[in-house]
Amino acid sequence: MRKDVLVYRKVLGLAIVALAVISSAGCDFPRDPRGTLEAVRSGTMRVGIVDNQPWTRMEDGRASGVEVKLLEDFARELGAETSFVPGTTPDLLEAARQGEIDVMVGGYTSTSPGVSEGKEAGVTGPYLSTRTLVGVPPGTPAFEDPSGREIAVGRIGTTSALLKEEGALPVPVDGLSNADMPVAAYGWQLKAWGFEPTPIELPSEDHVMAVPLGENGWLVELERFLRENRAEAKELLRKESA
Amino acid sequence: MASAVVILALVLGSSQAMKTAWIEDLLGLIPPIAFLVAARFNTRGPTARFPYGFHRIVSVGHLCSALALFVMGAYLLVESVLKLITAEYPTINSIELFGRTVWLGWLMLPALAYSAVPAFFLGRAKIPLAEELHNKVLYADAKMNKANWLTAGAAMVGIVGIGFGLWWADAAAAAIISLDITKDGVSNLRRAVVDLMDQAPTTVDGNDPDPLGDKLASMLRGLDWVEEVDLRLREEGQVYFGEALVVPSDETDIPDKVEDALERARDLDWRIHDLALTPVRELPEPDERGAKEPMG
Repeated sequence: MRKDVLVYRKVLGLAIVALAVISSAGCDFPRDPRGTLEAVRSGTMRVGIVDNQPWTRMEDGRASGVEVKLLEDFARELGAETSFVPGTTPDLLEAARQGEIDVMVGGYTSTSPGVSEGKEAGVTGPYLSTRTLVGVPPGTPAFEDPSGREIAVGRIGTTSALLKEEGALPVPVDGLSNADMPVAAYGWQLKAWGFEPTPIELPSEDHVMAVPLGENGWLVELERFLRENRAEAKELLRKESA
Repeated sequence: MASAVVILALVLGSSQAMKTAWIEDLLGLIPPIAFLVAARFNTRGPTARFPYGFHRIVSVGHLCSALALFVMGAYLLVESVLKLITAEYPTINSIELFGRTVWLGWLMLPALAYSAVPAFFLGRAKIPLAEELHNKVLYADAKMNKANWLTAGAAMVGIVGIGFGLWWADAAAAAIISLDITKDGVSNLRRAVVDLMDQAPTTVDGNDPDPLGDKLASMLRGLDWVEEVDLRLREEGQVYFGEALVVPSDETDIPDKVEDALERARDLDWRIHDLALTPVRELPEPDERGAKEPMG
C-alpha cells in the first residue's frame, strides 16, 4: 500500500510537471495533426461555402454574407488570404475530410444534419444564437396560437421546419417584407418592415462553422476569434438581413 | 463513483478514451452493486425453498462482476482498434472560461484524475479485504477499480497526445490498457464459471488450490478412530461445503465421534461451513479426483 502511494505521488508529480510545461508553451497547444493553423497563418484560408443567405452567398464568383465577412476578418487577423470553394454540404464535408478546405460555412446550426453530429467534420461551439419571431401586418389582429395558420417564410429551410413543428403552415413567398400575411423573421426585420410582433417565438438557432476533424489547434483558434467577435457577427447579420 | 459518472458526462467530448471512460464508469458500478446484493443475502439462513442457504449468491455476483469486467475490456479494445483502423481524428472543442478560450482537453485532465484517484485507493484497499473474507466478488470489484484508474490514466495520456497533434495517441493508449482489462476479465470469468461448476476451492486470486482442503483431510486422518478418509469440498461463495467419507478403525460410539470430528472441522477454519461426514466400510475406487490442479 505504501509503495503504491509513492508510485501514485510520482505519477501525479509527473502530470503536474507536464501540465506546467504545456501551459507555459501557451498558444501552441493544442496542435493540429495536419498543421492547418500553421498553413493558414503563412498562406491561404480555404473556405468551403454553401449558399445560404444571409449567412453565405455566392454571386458571380464573389462570396459575401455574414459568415464570409467574419472569416475574411479572421484571415486578416492571421495575415492570410482567403479563397472560396463553392459546393454542396456532402461535397464539402468530403473535401474537409481530405484536408482540401480549412473551414466550411453555410449558415449551419447546431442541429444541421450531416454537420452538427461532428462525425464528418469538427464543429465549433455556437458563435451566435438567433431567434425567429412571427409578426403580423399592421392592422391585422395578432394571435398566440400558430397551429393551422399560414405563415410566410423567405424559403423552405430551417425556419419552415421549426414552424411546422409548432403546427403552422409555412408558405414560401418572394417579397417577405411586403407580404400580406403573418411572416416569420428576426425581431429587427419585423420592426424595420412595420410588422407587429406576436408572442410566438420559434426555438433559438445556434450558429456554427465546421472544420476538418481533429484539427484542434485550428478549431480552438477559430472558436476564440468567433467568441471575441460576437457583437460584430450580430451587427453583420442585421446589415445583411435588412 | 456516481459523481464521477456525472462529471465525466458533463465534460464529455468526442475524445475516444473519454467516452469509453464514461461507459466504463457505468459498467464499473456493476461489481459494487453485485457485492452489496451478495453481502445482503449471503448470510441469510437456509429456508425450505433454499435448503443450502444463500451462500452461492456470492459466486453469482462474481460471475456478474467478471462479465462486466470482460465486457468493458473487450468493448474498449474493439472500439479503440476500430478508431485506429479508420483513422478517426478526435476533435475536442474549447469553452470560454473567465473570458478566456480554454481547450476542453485541459479540463478533461483534472476530471479524469478525479475519477481515477478514488478508484486507485479503493482498489488497493479491497484486495487484502477480499483475501481475508474469501470474497471473490470484492476481488473482481477491486480489479474493476484498477481497470477504471488505468483507463482514466490512458485517457489522460491520450488527451495530452492529442494536444501534441498526435491523433492516434488516444486510441493507442486505450487499446494498450484494454488488453490488461480484458485479461483480468477473462481470468475472473473463468474462475467464476469453474467455481459454479464446483471446482475444488482455490485462493481468492484463483491461482492456487486452497491448502485448507489438505489441512482438513489430514486433521480427519489424524483422529485416533479414523482409518481412511476421502474428502471433497466445493466453494459456495465465501464458504465451503463438502462431504467426507471415513473408514472407522473403531466402530463403537460412532455418532459421538462423528459429532466431535465435525466440531473440530468447524473450529479449524470459519470457511468450513457445511460438512457431511459419512462412516463407510470401505472407500470407493479412487477416480480422477486425485488431480487437484485448479483450472482458473
